[in-house]
Amino acid sequence: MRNFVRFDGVKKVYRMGEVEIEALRDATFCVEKGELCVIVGPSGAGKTTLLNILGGMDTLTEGQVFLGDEEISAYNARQLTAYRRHDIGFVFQFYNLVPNLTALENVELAAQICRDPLDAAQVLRSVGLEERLSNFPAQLSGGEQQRVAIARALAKNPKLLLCDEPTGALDYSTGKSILKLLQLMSRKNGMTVIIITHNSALTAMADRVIQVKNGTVLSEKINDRPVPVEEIEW
Amino acid sequence: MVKTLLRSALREIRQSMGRYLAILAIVGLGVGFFAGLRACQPDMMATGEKYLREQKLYDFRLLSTLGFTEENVAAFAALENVTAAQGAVFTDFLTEIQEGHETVVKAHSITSDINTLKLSAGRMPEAPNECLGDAKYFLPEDLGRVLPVQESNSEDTRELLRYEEYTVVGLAWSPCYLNYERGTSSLGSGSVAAFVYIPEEGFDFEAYHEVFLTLEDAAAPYTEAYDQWIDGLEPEMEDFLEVQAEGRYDALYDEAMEKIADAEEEIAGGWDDYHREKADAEQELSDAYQELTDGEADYQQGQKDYVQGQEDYEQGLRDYNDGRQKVADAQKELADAEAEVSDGERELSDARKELDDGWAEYNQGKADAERELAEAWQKLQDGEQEYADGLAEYNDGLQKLEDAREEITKGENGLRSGQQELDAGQAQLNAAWARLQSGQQELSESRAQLDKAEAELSAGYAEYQEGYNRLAAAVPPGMTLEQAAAADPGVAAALAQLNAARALLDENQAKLDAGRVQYEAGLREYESGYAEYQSGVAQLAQAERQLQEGRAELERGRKELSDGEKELAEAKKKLDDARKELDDGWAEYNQGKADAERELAEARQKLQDGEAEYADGAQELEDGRQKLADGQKELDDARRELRDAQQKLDDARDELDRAPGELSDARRELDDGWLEYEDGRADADREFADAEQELADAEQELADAREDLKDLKRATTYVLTRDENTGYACFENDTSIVAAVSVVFPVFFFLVAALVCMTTMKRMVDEQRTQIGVLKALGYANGQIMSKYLFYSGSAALVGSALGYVLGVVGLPWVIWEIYGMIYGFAPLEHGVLPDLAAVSFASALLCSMGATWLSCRMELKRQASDLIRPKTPRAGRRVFLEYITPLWKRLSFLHKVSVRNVLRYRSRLIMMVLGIGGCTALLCTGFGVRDSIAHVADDQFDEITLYDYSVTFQDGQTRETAEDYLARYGWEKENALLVHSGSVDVLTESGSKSVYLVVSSTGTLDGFLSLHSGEAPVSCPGEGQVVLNAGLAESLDVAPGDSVELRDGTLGSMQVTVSAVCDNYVFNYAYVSPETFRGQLGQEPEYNTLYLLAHEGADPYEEGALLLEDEDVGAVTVNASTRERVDSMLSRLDYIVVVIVLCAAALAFIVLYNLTNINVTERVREIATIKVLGFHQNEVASYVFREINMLSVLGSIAGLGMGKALHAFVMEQVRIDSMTFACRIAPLSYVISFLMTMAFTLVISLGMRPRLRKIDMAESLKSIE
Repeated sequence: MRNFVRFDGVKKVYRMGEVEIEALRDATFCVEKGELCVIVGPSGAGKTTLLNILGGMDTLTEGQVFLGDEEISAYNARQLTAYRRHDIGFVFQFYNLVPNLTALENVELAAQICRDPLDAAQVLRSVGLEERLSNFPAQLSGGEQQRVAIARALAKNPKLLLCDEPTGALDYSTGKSILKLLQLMSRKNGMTVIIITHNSALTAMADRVIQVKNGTVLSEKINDRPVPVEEIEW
Repeated sequence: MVKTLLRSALREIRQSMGRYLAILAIVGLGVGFFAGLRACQPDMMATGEKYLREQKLYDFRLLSTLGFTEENVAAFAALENVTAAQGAVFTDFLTEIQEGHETVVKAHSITSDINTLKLSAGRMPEAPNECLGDAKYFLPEDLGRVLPVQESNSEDTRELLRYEEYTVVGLAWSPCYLNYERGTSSLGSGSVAAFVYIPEEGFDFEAYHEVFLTLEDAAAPYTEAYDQWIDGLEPEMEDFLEVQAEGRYDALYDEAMEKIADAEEEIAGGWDDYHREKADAEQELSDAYQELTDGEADYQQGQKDYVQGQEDYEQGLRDYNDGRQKVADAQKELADAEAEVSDGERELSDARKELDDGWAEYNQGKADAERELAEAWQKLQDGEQEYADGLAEYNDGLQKLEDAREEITKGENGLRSGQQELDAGQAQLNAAWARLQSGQQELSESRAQLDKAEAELSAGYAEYQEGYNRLAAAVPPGMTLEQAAAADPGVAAALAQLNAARALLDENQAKLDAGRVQYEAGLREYESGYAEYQSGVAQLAQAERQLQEGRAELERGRKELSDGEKELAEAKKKLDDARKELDDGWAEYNQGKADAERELAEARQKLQDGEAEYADGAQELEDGRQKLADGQKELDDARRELRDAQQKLDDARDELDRAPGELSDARRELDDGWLEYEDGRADADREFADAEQELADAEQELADAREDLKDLKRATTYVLTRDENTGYACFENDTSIVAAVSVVFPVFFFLVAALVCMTTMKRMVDEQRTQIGVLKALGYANGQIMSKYLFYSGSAALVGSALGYVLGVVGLPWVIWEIYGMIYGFAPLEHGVLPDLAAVSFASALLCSMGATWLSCRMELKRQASDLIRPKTPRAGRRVFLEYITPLWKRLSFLHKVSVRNVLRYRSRLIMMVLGIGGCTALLCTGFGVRDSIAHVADDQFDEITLYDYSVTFQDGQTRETAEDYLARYGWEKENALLVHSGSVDVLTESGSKSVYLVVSSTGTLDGFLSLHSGEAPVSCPGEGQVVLNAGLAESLDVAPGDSVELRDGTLGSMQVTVSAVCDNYVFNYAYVSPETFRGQLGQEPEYNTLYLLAHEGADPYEEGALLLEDEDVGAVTVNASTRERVDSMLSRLDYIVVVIVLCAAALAFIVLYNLTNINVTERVREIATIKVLGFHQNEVASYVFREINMLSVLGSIAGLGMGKALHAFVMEQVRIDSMTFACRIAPLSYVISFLMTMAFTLVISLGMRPRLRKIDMAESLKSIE
């Protein structure tokens, strides 16, 4: 399908007291199904706003956002909740695991509320954590925690995997292995993955690179020859 | 504290206002509750004291049965230590406040310097017919109301009150009536509804009824010093009062003697006049009476005659009626006889007809029988003829059969010879067949030879042709063979040979032809022989067929023969049957003939008998007809006689009818006469009675005067102190209840406050770890850093205590005073200044909050700065013990698992919740339990224990006889009364003494009037040397059955007795002993001064009580219904305390729940944001967070039920009122309600916190960990 994700002239204005801050203006781009897309830009460029809107966590001021045939920008709060529940997998920079649940339970926490979940243990195994199912987050390393987070997102069987600086809190090699996992998911399972990062080195691994700066899309280009993660250096 | 830290702390407070307020509120609640409850008693006492001082309540109230004169009062005023003395009068009277309803009001004279009244509305009375109303009873609208003195009041009362009605011009409080109690009365309902104060001029009195005194230098009321001061003065006062009363007696005695002398003189003259007039009147009346009596006798005679005539007439009438009846009977008999005769005729003619029919039937029967017999004979003859014919036919058949048999035998012989001929023909044919066969053989052999020869011949010809051809071929062309032959000898030879062969061949041909002719001839011969053979065979078959037919015919003949034989046999059988039938027919015929002849003879005999009977009947009928004619004649004579009698009776009737008119005229005359007489008589009697009454009254007066004088006893006097004033005494008791309770509850609040501080501060320190680390790294000392947190919690505690103290000290006593106002309410509450209380409150509040803070900070501050600067490693998820119960754990969903883990994760929060929520439940349980325990006291006491309804106390001791007299006077049954001794004794034990009621039954048993029991078990009455005490008393004196106690009577001495048992009793304290014990130990009969009475069914207890009090020997009547009401209303006050407790419990629950929820939510903002991003709905998020709180609430609440039970027991121990014992119990429903209310509080908090959850921004989840 063409234009699986589509941003059409999106504008977002935050009102803080008297002041209005334009976080995003005229943002237009699209991502196709099964692509690994990297949205790159410096801090404050509007990446997070973009992510919030796409992730159904925030509303927009102007423009339209589509996922498949559905117009996300027209949803009300309740529909947005359902959208987050069923369509989106979210990977946070700081993992955001529930400290009082084991790895398996954290995944099941997400799985039990959606319609057609994957088997939690299976997903954890697929991210290489078969040994760590019953460990609490505090007993896991950062990389392992992020894998649990990815597993949690994947277990929901989402249409779209959104990753916010997934390597931000990880060291170099762990970060690489996480990126590899994400690339594998996209390649092998045809998952549409959108990674948001400030690290432009990651653009090399993407099918599509969208550059954001000063609250607008600077460029959108298709990378014909994505490089395997191992070859990326930063 | 460093300035920046102070600023930081202030900012902190601003930012976490909710948390700060929670600490503030819980400390405030604790302090408020503590200080408020503590302040209640001092405040109330202060109010009471001030009021009593200002209103100058008397110190002594003196009473004398003879009253007091002005001189007496002046004498008291002149006493040392006495500042003022005032005489006063009082009386109960019936008035009408509600239309048609009498109300008892107590009227007092207004005193000026003592017992001053506090005006609450209107003005003081100015005229003597104005009054002040009871401010507790009347409303301001009642000003101007007129209170009439009802006619139903006694004369004494009406005389005492100078006017017939009094106008209410003002409302006032009197210090003599501190509480709602207005006392009892012998009037109306027995209870006084209100007091009124009337100026002294409004009364018409000879002597004051009471004297009030106030003393110099009196200490504050309710103090030890005051009591001692009064106790010291009392004997002196009693002596002086005695002296005054003595003087009063002498004066009264002289006055009475004078009155008696006057009265005696008056009466003597009166009697003389009376007797003279009476004699005259009597004579006149007796004359009139004689006349009337004579008339009456005449009238009686006339009446008697009339009655006799009436009776005679009745007799005649009865006789006449009898005669008539007899005639009617005879007529009826006659008619019956006629009917009988006609019946006889009818019967006779019926009999004739029957006889005739009989004869006809007989003749007919005879003819029929003869005809039938002749017919039968004829039929039998015909049968004989038929039988003979059949026999002849049968014999013919036999002959024919014999002929047929012979013919058949002949046929058989013919057939046998035919068969023999056939067999010979067959043999010839077989021989001819054999010859034919051999001829054919020969023919076919010759044919074969012919064919062979022919074949050889053809071959020869062919050979010849070949040779010829070969030869021809060898001949050169153009030349014939012959030429060749000619030409060549060889050829010629060959040709020759050839011709020779040809010749041979032709010869053989000829021979063959000859053989062929021969063969043809043989063949023709064979064929003719074969034809002959064929015809022979046909002939033979013909012969055989003929033979077969002959056989068949013979067979048919045989069959016919056997059929004929069978037919003949059947005919024979039929013939035999016919013979037998005929024989039977003959026998029957002979029998029938004999029977018919006999029957006919019998019928004839019967008919002849009938003829004889008929002749008898005809004779009888003739006799009947004769008798009937005689009867008719007699009847006619009787009728004539009756007609004569009728005439005579009618004449008598006329005479009788005239008599009553004459008699009634006579009667009317007589009655008029009597009436006149009676009037005269009545007039005379009335006049006499009036005169007599007048005289009797005069005599009565005299007698009364004498009696009065006789009765004029030496005055009985009483010196009463304030302690005998119900209001004054109750006030002190009631205020101490609150003080007892105030010890317990605040402890709870302080404990919970400490826990709230601790969890809050711990959370805060956790949040600010990094900041603490930085400060430490910057070189701040631990103390300085901690000061920030101490400031935070300390300031919250300080402000909280200040608020709580002010609100508590002002509010709680106010609330309680308002509640007490139902009973007291005589003055607004005075708030005393209580510096000790304030100091204690503030100190404990600060200690709680800051101590808790110090404990929470200490651990963190001990760490190294570097350690603190790093973000705290998140607290590891821990498995809880529940997880090891796998089956249970597996059943839980994750969300439940999280909650369970969280619940058990923070121990201090768990304790806080369990204590706080548990405390709330416990408070509720206690509150409701207090009600449960107390509410039933009156019911239990008066339904289960005190069964009698009135206790009548006599002025002096009674014997059984005098008591029975009294009962008879008031229409009381003996069975419904019990005479007892009731008095007051002190029970002394090692651990103290207590004044109780001593009850000694005159019969030794209390059954039916008092039920002595302990729980379910009955307690038997004490034996000699034993005592039964009530359980509450035994407990407070620390004695048990078997212990020895001393009962000390003020005047009689003391008894040493053993406690035999304890019994249930809730109101007042009692000791029961037997009369034997009393006698034995004190050496005298107990003074039976009290009657216990059972009320009559349906009677108004107050009215009955008032009636019983009328007797002059009776000193007091206690109506238990009234006691019961008083106890009930006193206890109902505790309901309000329950309300206060419930409110406090709610506040406690709210603060604790709010605090925990608040902490939970702020601590887990990130987690909540994350699950929101995961797509949890609002409800799911809420239950994720609140489930934990709910679990803790249930846990805490369950614990609270247990705590409640203990707390309730403790409170009940404290609330002990001296004269009451409470059953310590909590109803199951109270537990349920407490639990449910706690759950409801939790629910409310959960609902209240939901918007907070909704406000959490999902973007929080993206933030980095601080």
